[in-house]
Amino acid sequence: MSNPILKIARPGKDVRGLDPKDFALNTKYMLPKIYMQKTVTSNTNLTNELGYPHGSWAFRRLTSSSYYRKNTEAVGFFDPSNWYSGSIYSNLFTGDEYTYFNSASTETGVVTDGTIVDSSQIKIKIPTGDTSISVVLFAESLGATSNKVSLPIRPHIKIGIDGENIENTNLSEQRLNTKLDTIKIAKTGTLTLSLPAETLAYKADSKAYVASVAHGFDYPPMYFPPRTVSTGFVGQQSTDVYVDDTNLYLRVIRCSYGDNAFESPGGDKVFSAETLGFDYTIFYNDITEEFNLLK
Amino acid sequence: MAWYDSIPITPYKKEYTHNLGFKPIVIGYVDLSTIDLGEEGWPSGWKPIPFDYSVFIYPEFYTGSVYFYHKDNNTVVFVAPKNAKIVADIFVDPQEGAWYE
Repeated sequence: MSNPILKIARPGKDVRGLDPKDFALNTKYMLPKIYMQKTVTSNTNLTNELGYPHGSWAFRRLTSSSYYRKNTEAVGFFDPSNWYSGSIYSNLFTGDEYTYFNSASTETGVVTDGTIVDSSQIKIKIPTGDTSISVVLFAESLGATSNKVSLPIRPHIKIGIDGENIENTNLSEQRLNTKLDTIKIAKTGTLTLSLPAETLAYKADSKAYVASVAHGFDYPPMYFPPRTVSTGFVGQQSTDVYVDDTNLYLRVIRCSYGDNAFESPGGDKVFSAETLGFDYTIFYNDITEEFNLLK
Repeated sequence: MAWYDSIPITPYKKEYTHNLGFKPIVIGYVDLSTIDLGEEGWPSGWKPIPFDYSVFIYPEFYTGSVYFYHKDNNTVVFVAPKNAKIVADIFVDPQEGAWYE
């Protein structure tokens, strides 16, 4: 028994002999299926309606109170600490920015932040200082699956796996099921930020540099890779990635030296010129949208 | 002892060769029970990667990371403590140059 494969080429491409990456849709490959999006403003445990562990994404909504890691401890007693001052720290976020959840700070030590999914629950915990967290729940199983997931009756296209009766193919393994949503790529590219060579004097204000790309939507879209904010200063430099309803941003903050452990001035901090960047994917999917397609 | 002089948990690497010829989008998850060091209250379930974490098991702090990176255009490397169970989706879409505006 074989099942049909649905192939749609990108505009201007011929579907015959096309490279897999050049299809707009090719059900030979699994299409991630989103069954729920939800935004919570307090820590929440949802019942896992699928009954098996599955994938999830989480996006933090940032505020001026959001935790931002500023590690001041010097490596050694004679090494200068970092000095954080300047207007940037009172204006890190306005409340309309979102970032991929990634507990990148061992300082916080909270492995339970974000989402954790088991067979019975979806545990959602908001990082300290954030307004809310928006979660995306996928139907693909991370372990054992069940075929007993019932979906509402409505017109749909469903494609299973080759050699198996579609009625026996569980939801997790179905290549396509249009009763559920999926992630949809809007654009990809490279976001780069050029930083100048400069010297920050002892206890000088920090400097911030920002590069952005307009995504063209009037809502904050999901993005990839899973870069985030406040990953901590590596040396005297921190890197943030976040999105709002206009742009995807790459920001770098450079700080100066403070005193060492013996309260001796740290001196000037000399930065070299450098260019930072990353390859991004922006999806059409709205971080803030809410739905439950199992209902 | 504080978090900043904690003991790093030894990271292990596992390479996956996809041979796509570009750096694809990768989504991964780790089963938290497989990186449990015995800390009281350690959660169970699956968590998206990447993430860093710290645990305190008297009298020491330990810090660990679970993440992935692209070694080259054909290989993804997953990094995690020994015996970590990771499930990942590797897309046929590259991270850059995949689509039109």
